[in-house]
Amino acid sequence: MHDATAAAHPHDLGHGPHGADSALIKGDKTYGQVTEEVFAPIERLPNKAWFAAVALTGSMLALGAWAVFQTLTKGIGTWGLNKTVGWAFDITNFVFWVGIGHAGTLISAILYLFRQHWRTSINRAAEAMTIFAVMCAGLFPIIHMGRPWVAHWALPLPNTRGPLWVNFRSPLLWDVFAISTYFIISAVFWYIGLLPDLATARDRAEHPVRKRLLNLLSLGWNGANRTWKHYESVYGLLAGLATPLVVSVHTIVSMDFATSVIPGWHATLFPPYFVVGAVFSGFAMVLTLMIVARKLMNYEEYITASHLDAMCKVVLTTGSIVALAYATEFFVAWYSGNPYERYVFLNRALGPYKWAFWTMVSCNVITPQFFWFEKFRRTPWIIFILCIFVNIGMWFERFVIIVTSLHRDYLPSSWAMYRPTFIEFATLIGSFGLFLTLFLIFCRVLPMIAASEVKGVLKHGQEQ
Amino acid sequence: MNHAASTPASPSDRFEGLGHVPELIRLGRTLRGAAVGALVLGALLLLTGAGQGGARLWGNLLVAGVNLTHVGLGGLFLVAATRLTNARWSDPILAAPHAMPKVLPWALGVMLVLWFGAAVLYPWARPEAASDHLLHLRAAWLNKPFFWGRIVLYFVLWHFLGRLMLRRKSFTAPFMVSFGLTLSLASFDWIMSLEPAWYSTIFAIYGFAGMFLQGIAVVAMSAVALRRFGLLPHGVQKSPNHDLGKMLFAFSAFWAYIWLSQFLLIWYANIPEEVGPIKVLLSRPWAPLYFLNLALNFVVPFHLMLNRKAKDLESMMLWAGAVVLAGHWLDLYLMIFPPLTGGAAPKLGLPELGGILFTLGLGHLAVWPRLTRKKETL
Repeated sequence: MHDATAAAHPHDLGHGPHGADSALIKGDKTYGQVTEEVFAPIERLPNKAWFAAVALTGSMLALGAWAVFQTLTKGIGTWGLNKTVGWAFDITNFVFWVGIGHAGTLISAILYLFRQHWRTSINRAAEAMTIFAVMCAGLFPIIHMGRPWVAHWALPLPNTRGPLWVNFRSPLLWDVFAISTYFIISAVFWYIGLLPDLATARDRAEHPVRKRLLNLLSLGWNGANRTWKHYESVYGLLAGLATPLVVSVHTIVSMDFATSVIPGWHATLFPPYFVVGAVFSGFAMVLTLMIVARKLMNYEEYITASHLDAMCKVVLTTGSIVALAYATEFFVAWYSGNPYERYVFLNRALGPYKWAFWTMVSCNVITPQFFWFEKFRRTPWIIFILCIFVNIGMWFERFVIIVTSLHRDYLPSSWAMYRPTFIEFATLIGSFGLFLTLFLIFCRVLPMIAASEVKGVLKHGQEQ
Repeated sequence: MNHAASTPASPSDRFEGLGHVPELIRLGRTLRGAAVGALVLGALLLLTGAGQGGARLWGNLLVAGVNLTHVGLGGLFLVAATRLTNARWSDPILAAPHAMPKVLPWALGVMLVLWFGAAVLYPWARPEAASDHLLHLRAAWLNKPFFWGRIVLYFVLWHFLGRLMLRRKSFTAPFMVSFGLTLSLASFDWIMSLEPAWYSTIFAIYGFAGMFLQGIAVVAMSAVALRRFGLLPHGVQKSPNHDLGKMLFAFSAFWAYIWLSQFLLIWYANIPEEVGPIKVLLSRPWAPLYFLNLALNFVVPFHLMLNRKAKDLESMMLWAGAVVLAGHWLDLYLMIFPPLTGGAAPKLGLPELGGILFTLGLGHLAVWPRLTRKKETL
């Protein structure tokens, strides 16, 4: 990265002419073609299928809004929680959505620093998913507060409430900082990356209002060498800043559990294990949506089989690390000789929630192993199905960790079962509605592929 | 990024090996003499720790055994990781990680010798373990024949799968799978079982983080040495320090992350049987070493490698590498010694010096011939 400015193109980070980069984009495209193909979809009106999709996801969102309204007007009693299981569906959804967000930052920041040029075709959409997923995640703790209108009390603001002050020792407060920082940095990073493309959209715009609006949004980008140079510095700096955030957010989320003294929750392995699980689920979600989007939007020459292959390898690697973490937890629970630790893990595998546990193991441990075979890594419909299973499995992982650890703890007289209510299901469906609606809008309003970055890895103009 | 580094050299461009440079033959001989001297002196000094129950002899030998294993595995892991990510920056520096696994058979020897000190090191290997409820529960896993049988198994897998992996690309991913499992179990076995009641699920990753950080340091220092002796391929104009500097920077931060995860969670939860060992390390005689460990593995290398220009300076790389090597030794010392001495004040003296000399001598003798062998650099 240090000599990025000396390279032929700002985004060519100095690999020289040889290497696999030349094959990243199929179809031997020219710069003009890339511009045309990336920007054309956002310059015409969406088709009927898009409206149908938005109607569906909008209905899901409306159902969720109804559920949240019920929760807020009637109270948390509309959920299936009880005195023993005080966290369940809601916090599962929260951790699930935070996890989904991780692929975007990993792709945009870490893969950038590692000079993985295949990221250029997918980073824009993945980063958008990060932002939408964090929005969905943030909703759940706020709803769980019961009185979301005082959500700002979670911020350490000077106040007139006397000595009432946030508890800096609580990992729940660390969450507030971690997630808000993550959201802000991800959004800024995404927006900065959008600037050159917004400027291209502006230059192509015909309607004066659209032109003015895009000019404003692109901060008057002029494409000068100096502008590019500054842009590159900022982008590199933001990548450096965002890299620790990939790790910190889920580390803090894991500490919501791991700082406790509950067997099944208190494990020192949790921080890296949660981070890897988050990347695993995030990549599965990116693959799920991108496989549909590349087909519907004709981006198959941009998001090629090689891209899918690389992403599947990430899913395989992280899935295998997650499997190793499960095995480690079980082994150490046995090894510890601690009867409570041993019981919690036996109860997970053989107790009343064993169906959830075995769903988790089947989806998270077995499913990714199919990606050992190159044929599976390059066949979109197979990837799509496998990644759906990974998404299901990762949702269940959080459910298993949260519910099975709580429902039977030290005091057998307090043992209880947890069953989710319709309101809770509706809230989860609503969060998917929000996520998908935002994604659908994004696909139609902003260039889904980072055209300026893709041009940097084109074969065209490099070797002539 | 070093552009020239990624240009594949034609066979005739490869360096011609030590055999053609008289000064280097002499240097090689001098270094070998020094290494033999260090090995013998180290072994003798180690024996001075045989008194008072022999904890300092066996403890230092365990530190040396784990350390040498970590050097070998660090090389193997670096090769596998760069291959799986299709990395090209690492091409010119692969000589060192290819040579480092040569130390593994010697490390196995050290680990096997520990059989004779089992009762000194491991509470579960003592006769009174049979009456201890907690140790009795684990007896199926922690008993002498199975324990040392596993040691042999781990080394067989590392050595043979490692060799296959170095020769054939298709073995890289299977090697990684076996590596993840065996390294985890080895960390739990060799070090965590020193402390009977204590357990931490992150322990294997903590060991891995230190191992890989040290591996990068060894590779970085070898790369500097190879370039100074003119043993890098001809195509390589300047040493590929910059990328290794970034790796050192990143993995010192990773080590600190894992260190913090373990420390913070145990300290925060404050569960008596878990927090005990941490309390010992935070108490007066150990605390300075405990924080020195953090400085050597994180604060110093992280800040030395933060600056862009510093990553290009060979002297800076040597310093950072040396600090990390010292840090990894101290890290292992702090994992292994407090349970052995029952929390008594640390004693740093001749046996510890002996252990370090022994490690350096053995490591050099195992790695150097391969490192400087003809046509091995590319």
